[in-house]
Amino acid sequence: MELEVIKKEKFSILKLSGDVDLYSSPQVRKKILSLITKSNKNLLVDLAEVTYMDSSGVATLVEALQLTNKNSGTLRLYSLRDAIKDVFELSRLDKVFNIYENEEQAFEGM
Amino acid sequence: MNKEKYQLKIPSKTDNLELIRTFVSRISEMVGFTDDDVYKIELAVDEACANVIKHAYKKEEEINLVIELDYKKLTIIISDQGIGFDVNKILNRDIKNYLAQMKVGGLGIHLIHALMDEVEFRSEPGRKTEVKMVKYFVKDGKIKKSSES
Repeated sequence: MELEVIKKEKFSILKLSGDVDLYSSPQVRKKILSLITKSNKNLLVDLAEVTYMDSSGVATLVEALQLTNKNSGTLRLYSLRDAIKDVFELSRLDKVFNIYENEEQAFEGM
Repeated sequence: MNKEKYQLKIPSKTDNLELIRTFVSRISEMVGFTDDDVYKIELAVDEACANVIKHAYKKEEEINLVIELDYKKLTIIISDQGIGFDVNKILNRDIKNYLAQMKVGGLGIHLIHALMDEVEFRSEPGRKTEVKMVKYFVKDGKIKKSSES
Protein backbone atom coordinates (compact mmCIF):
# COMPACT_ATOMS: atom_id res chain seq x y z
CA MET A 1 0.00 0.00 0.00
CA GLU A 2 1.21 3.48 -0.83
CA LEU A 3 -0.15 6.89 0.05
CA GLU A 4 0.38 10.37 -1.31
CA VAL A 5 -0.86 13.67 0.10
CA ILE A 6 -1.61 16.84 -1.83
CA LYS A 7 -2.42 19.89 0.27
CA LYS A 8 -4.62 22.61 -1.17
CA GLU A 9 -5.71 25.84 0.48
CA LYS A 10 -9.10 24.58 1.69
CA PHE A 11 -8.66 20.81 1.66
CA SER A 12 -6.25 17.90 1.48
CA ILE A 13 -6.24 15.06 -1.03
CA LEU A 14 -5.15 11.60 0.10
CA LYS A 15 -4.36 9.24 -2.78
CA LEU A 16 -4.21 5.60 -1.72
CA SER A 17 -2.97 2.71 -3.81
CA GLY A 18 -2.64 -1.06 -3.43
CA ASP A 19 -4.22 -3.17 -0.67
CA VAL A 20 -5.79 -1.55 2.38
CA ASP A 21 -6.08 -4.34 4.96
CA LEU A 22 -5.46 -4.94 8.66
CA TYR A 23 -1.71 -4.70 8.00
CA SER A 24 -1.74 -1.37 6.14
CA SER A 25 -4.80 0.42 7.55
CA PRO A 26 -2.98 1.66 10.72
CA GLN A 27 -0.67 3.62 8.38
CA VAL A 28 -3.70 5.14 6.62
CA ARG A 29 -5.31 5.95 9.97
CA LYS A 30 -2.17 7.70 11.21
CA LYS A 31 -1.99 9.83 8.05
CA ILE A 32 -5.69 10.74 8.18
CA LEU A 33 -5.47 11.78 11.84
CA SER A 34 -2.56 14.08 10.98
CA LEU A 35 -4.39 15.60 7.99
CA ILE A 36 -7.75 16.47 9.55
CA THR A 37 -7.25 19.50 11.77
CA LYS A 38 -9.42 22.45 12.80
CA SER A 39 -7.68 24.63 10.21
CA ASN A 40 -7.75 22.00 7.45
CA LYS A 41 -10.93 20.03 8.08
CA ASN A 42 -11.84 18.88 4.56
CA LEU A 43 -10.43 15.65 3.13
CA LEU A 44 -10.83 14.08 -0.30
CA VAL A 45 -9.74 10.47 -0.65
CA ASP A 46 -8.81 9.18 -4.10
CA LEU A 47 -9.38 5.40 -4.17
CA ALA A 48 -8.76 4.86 -7.90
CA GLU A 49 -5.65 2.78 -7.34
CA VAL A 50 -6.94 0.80 -4.35
CA THR A 51 -7.17 -2.80 -5.50
CA TYR A 52 -8.36 -4.35 -2.25
CA MET A 53 -10.06 -3.10 0.93
CA ASP A 54 -11.30 -5.05 3.94
CA SER A 55 -13.42 -3.97 6.93
CA SER A 56 -10.42 -2.45 8.71
CA GLY A 57 -9.99 -0.07 5.74
CA VAL A 58 -13.68 0.76 5.82
CA ALA A 59 -13.49 1.29 9.61
CA THR A 60 -10.56 3.68 9.13
CA LEU A 61 -12.60 5.76 6.68
CA VAL A 62 -15.55 5.71 9.11
CA GLU A 63 -13.23 7.16 11.75
CA ALA A 64 -12.12 9.83 9.24
CA LEU A 65 -15.79 10.68 8.60
CA GLN A 66 -16.48 11.00 12.32
CA LEU A 67 -13.47 13.28 12.69
CA THR A 68 -14.42 15.56 9.79
CA ASN A 69 -18.02 15.71 11.08
CA LYS A 70 -16.73 16.66 14.52
CA ASN A 71 -14.72 19.51 13.00
CA SER A 72 -17.66 20.58 10.78
CA GLY A 73 -15.64 19.53 7.76
CA THR A 74 -16.24 17.32 4.73
CA LEU A 75 -14.99 13.89 3.70
CA ARG A 76 -15.41 12.80 0.09
CA LEU A 77 -14.38 9.50 -1.47
CA TYR A 78 -13.98 9.16 -5.22
CA SER A 79 -13.02 6.90 -8.14
CA LEU A 80 -13.83 3.62 -6.37
CA ARG A 81 -13.38 0.43 -8.40
CA ASP A 82 -16.44 -1.82 -8.57
CA ALA A 83 -15.00 -4.35 -6.11
CA ILE A 84 -14.35 -1.59 -3.55
CA LYS A 85 -17.84 -0.11 -4.11
CA ASP A 86 -19.23 -3.58 -3.35
CA VAL A 87 -17.46 -3.63 0.02
CA PHE A 88 -19.15 -0.34 0.97
CA GLU A 89 -22.52 -1.59 -0.27
CA LEU A 90 -22.22 -4.93 1.54
CA SER A 91 -21.20 -3.01 4.68
CA ARG A 92 -24.34 -0.89 4.18
CA LEU A 93 -22.16 2.19 4.51
CA ASP A 94 -22.45 3.41 0.92
CA LYS A 95 -25.20 5.84 1.94
CA VAL A 96 -23.24 7.10 4.96
CA PHE A 97 -20.32 8.38 2.86
CA ASN A 98 -20.22 11.02 0.14
CA ILE A 99 -19.00 8.90 -2.78
CA TYR A 100 -18.25 10.44 -6.19
CA GLU A 101 -17.57 8.83 -9.55
CA ASN A 102 -14.47 10.88 -10.37
CA GLU A 103 -12.13 13.66 -9.27
CA GLU A 104 -14.01 16.37 -11.17
CA GLN A 105 -17.29 15.59 -9.38
CA ALA A 106 -15.59 15.26 -6.01
CA PHE A 107 -13.91 18.67 -6.35
CA GLU A 108 -17.15 20.44 -7.19
CA GLY A 109 -18.04 23.09 -4.60
CA MET A 110 -14.91 22.54 -2.53
CA MET B 1 -13.97 -33.93 -9.48
CA ASN B 2 -12.82 -36.11 -6.57
CA LYS B 3 -12.54 -34.36 -3.24
CA GLU B 4 -9.30 -32.37 -3.12
CA LYS B 5 -7.82 -30.77 -0.04
CA TYR B 6 -5.34 -27.91 0.38
CA GLN B 7 -3.98 -26.74 3.71
CA LEU B 8 -2.10 -23.69 4.97
CA LYS B 9 -0.75 -23.36 8.51
CA ILE B 10 0.54 -19.87 9.05
CA PRO B 11 1.56 -17.56 11.95
CA SER B 12 -1.26 -15.24 13.02
CA LYS B 13 0.24 -11.88 12.05
CA THR B 14 -1.10 -9.10 9.86
CA ASP B 15 1.80 -9.18 7.39
CA ASN B 16 0.68 -12.71 6.41
CA LEU B 17 -2.78 -11.61 5.28
CA GLU B 18 -1.59 -10.89 1.73
CA LEU B 19 -0.06 -14.37 1.51
CA ILE B 20 -3.29 -15.95 2.79
CA ARG B 21 -5.30 -13.99 0.18
CA THR B 22 -2.94 -15.10 -2.59
CA PHE B 23 -3.26 -18.77 -1.53
CA VAL B 24 -7.06 -18.58 -1.51
CA SER B 25 -7.47 -16.53 -4.68
CA ARG B 26 -5.13 -18.75 -6.74
CA ILE B 27 -7.10 -21.88 -5.83
CA SER B 28 -10.43 -20.12 -6.45
CA GLU B 29 -9.19 -18.94 -9.87
CA MET B 30 -7.83 -22.39 -10.67
CA VAL B 31 -11.23 -24.03 -10.18
CA GLY B 32 -12.89 -21.44 -12.38
CA PHE B 33 -14.73 -18.96 -10.17
CA THR B 34 -15.47 -15.57 -11.75
CA ASP B 35 -13.27 -12.60 -10.78
CA ASP B 36 -16.17 -11.25 -8.73
CA ASP B 37 -16.50 -14.48 -6.74
CA VAL B 38 -12.71 -14.81 -6.31
CA TYR B 39 -12.71 -11.33 -4.73
CA LYS B 40 -15.61 -12.27 -2.44
CA ILE B 41 -13.94 -15.51 -1.29
CA GLU B 42 -10.64 -13.69 -0.75
CA LEU B 43 -12.33 -10.97 1.32
CA ALA B 44 -14.34 -13.44 3.42
CA VAL B 45 -11.19 -15.43 4.26
CA ASP B 46 -9.25 -12.22 5.01
CA GLU B 47 -11.98 -11.08 7.41
CA ALA B 48 -12.03 -14.42 9.23
CA CYS B 49 -8.22 -14.50 9.55
CA ALA B 50 -8.12 -10.83 10.61
CA ASN B 51 -10.57 -11.73 13.41
CA VAL B 52 -8.23 -14.49 14.59
CA ILE B 53 -5.25 -12.09 14.55
CA LYS B 54 -7.14 -9.31 16.36
CA HIS B 55 -9.16 -11.27 18.90
CA ALA B 56 -8.23 -14.94 19.30
CA TYR B 57 -4.75 -14.81 20.76
CA LYS B 58 -2.77 -12.57 23.10
CA LYS B 59 0.39 -13.23 21.10
CA GLU B 60 1.34 -14.65 17.72
CA GLU B 61 0.06 -18.22 17.30
CA GLU B 62 -1.15 -20.24 14.35
CA ILE B 63 -4.03 -20.01 11.90
CA ASN B 64 -5.07 -23.24 10.24
CA LEU B 65 -6.76 -22.88 6.86
CA VAL B 66 -8.19 -25.83 4.93
CA ILE B 67 -9.75 -25.66 1.48
CA GLU B 68 -11.82 -28.61 0.26
CA LEU B 69 -13.06 -28.93 -3.29
CA ASP B 70 -15.70 -31.26 -4.64
CA TYR B 71 -17.71 -31.24 -7.84
CA LYS B 72 -20.22 -28.65 -6.64
CA LYS B 73 -18.55 -26.40 -4.08
CA LEU B 74 -15.48 -24.90 -2.44
CA THR B 75 -15.40 -25.19 1.34
CA ILE B 76 -12.99 -23.21 3.52
CA ILE B 77 -12.42 -24.00 7.19
CA ILE B 78 -10.42 -21.55 9.31
CA SER B 79 -9.62 -22.59 12.85
CA ASP B 80 -7.66 -21.41 15.87
CA GLN B 81 -7.16 -22.42 19.50
CA GLY B 82 -7.77 -18.95 20.90
CA ILE B 83 -10.22 -17.41 23.37
CA GLY B 84 -13.31 -17.90 21.17
CA PHE B 85 -16.36 -15.65 20.98
CA ASP B 86 -20.14 -15.65 20.94
CA VAL B 87 -21.05 -15.06 17.31
CA ASN B 88 -24.77 -14.70 18.15
CA LYS B 89 -24.04 -11.55 20.13
CA ILE B 90 -22.72 -9.97 16.94
CA LEU B 91 -25.31 -11.43 14.59
CA ASN B 92 -28.22 -10.42 16.81
CA ARG B 93 -27.29 -6.76 16.62
CA ASP B 94 -29.60 -4.50 14.64
CA ILE B 95 -26.90 -4.01 12.03
CA LYS B 96 -28.71 -1.26 10.11
CA ASN B 97 -29.16 0.84 13.23
CA TYR B 98 -25.68 -0.07 14.45
CA LEU B 99 -24.00 1.07 11.24
CA ALA B 100 -26.19 4.18 11.08
CA GLN B 101 -24.44 5.15 14.30
CA MET B 102 -21.14 4.54 12.48
CA LYS B 103 -20.13 1.69 14.78
CA VAL B 104 -18.11 -0.89 12.87
CA GLY B 105 -17.11 -3.55 15.42
CA GLY B 106 -18.24 -6.94 14.09
CA LEU B 107 -18.48 -5.64 10.54
CA GLY B 108 -16.12 -8.40 9.36
CA ILE B 109 -18.54 -11.16 10.46
CA HIS B 110 -21.46 -9.48 8.67
CA LEU B 111 -19.32 -9.20 5.55
CA ILE B 112 -18.43 -12.92 5.68
CA HIS B 113 -22.16 -13.79 5.78
CA ALA B 114 -22.90 -11.44 2.89
CA LEU B 115 -20.02 -12.72 0.75
CA MET B 116 -20.40 -16.50 1.05
CA ASP B 117 -23.28 -18.89 0.29
CA GLU B 118 -23.10 -20.70 3.66
CA VAL B 119 -21.31 -19.76 6.87
CA GLU B 120 -21.11 -21.66 10.14
CA PHE B 121 -19.28 -20.66 13.33
CA ARG B 122 -18.35 -23.05 16.13
CA SER B 123 -16.55 -21.91 19.23
CA GLU B 124 -15.24 -23.82 22.24
CA PRO B 125 -13.26 -21.09 24.00
CA GLY B 126 -9.63 -22.05 24.60
CA ARG B 127 -9.99 -25.29 22.63
CA LYS B 128 -11.11 -24.57 19.12
CA THR B 129 -12.91 -21.87 17.19
CA GLU B 130 -13.84 -22.69 13.64
CA VAL B 131 -15.51 -20.86 10.80
CA LYS B 132 -16.68 -22.94 7.86
CA MET B 133 -17.70 -21.12 4.69
CA VAL B 134 -18.98 -22.45 1.40
CA LYS B 135 -19.18 -21.08 -2.14
CA TYR B 136 -21.07 -23.11 -4.72
CA PHE B 137 -20.00 -23.42 -8.35
CA VAL B 138 -23.67 -23.56 -9.26
CA LYS B 139 -26.24 -21.50 -7.40
CA ASP B 140 -30.01 -21.66 -8.07
CA GLY B 141 -29.36 -23.77 -11.14
CA LYS B 142 -27.04 -21.11 -12.62
CA ILE B 143 -23.42 -21.98 -13.38
CA LYS B 144 -21.09 -19.45 -11.79
CA LYS B 145 -17.76 -20.76 -13.03
CA SER B 146 -16.11 -18.28 -15.41
CA SER B 147 -14.80 -21.06 -17.68
CA GLU B 148 -18.34 -22.22 -18.32
CA SER B 149 -20.15 -18.85 -18.52
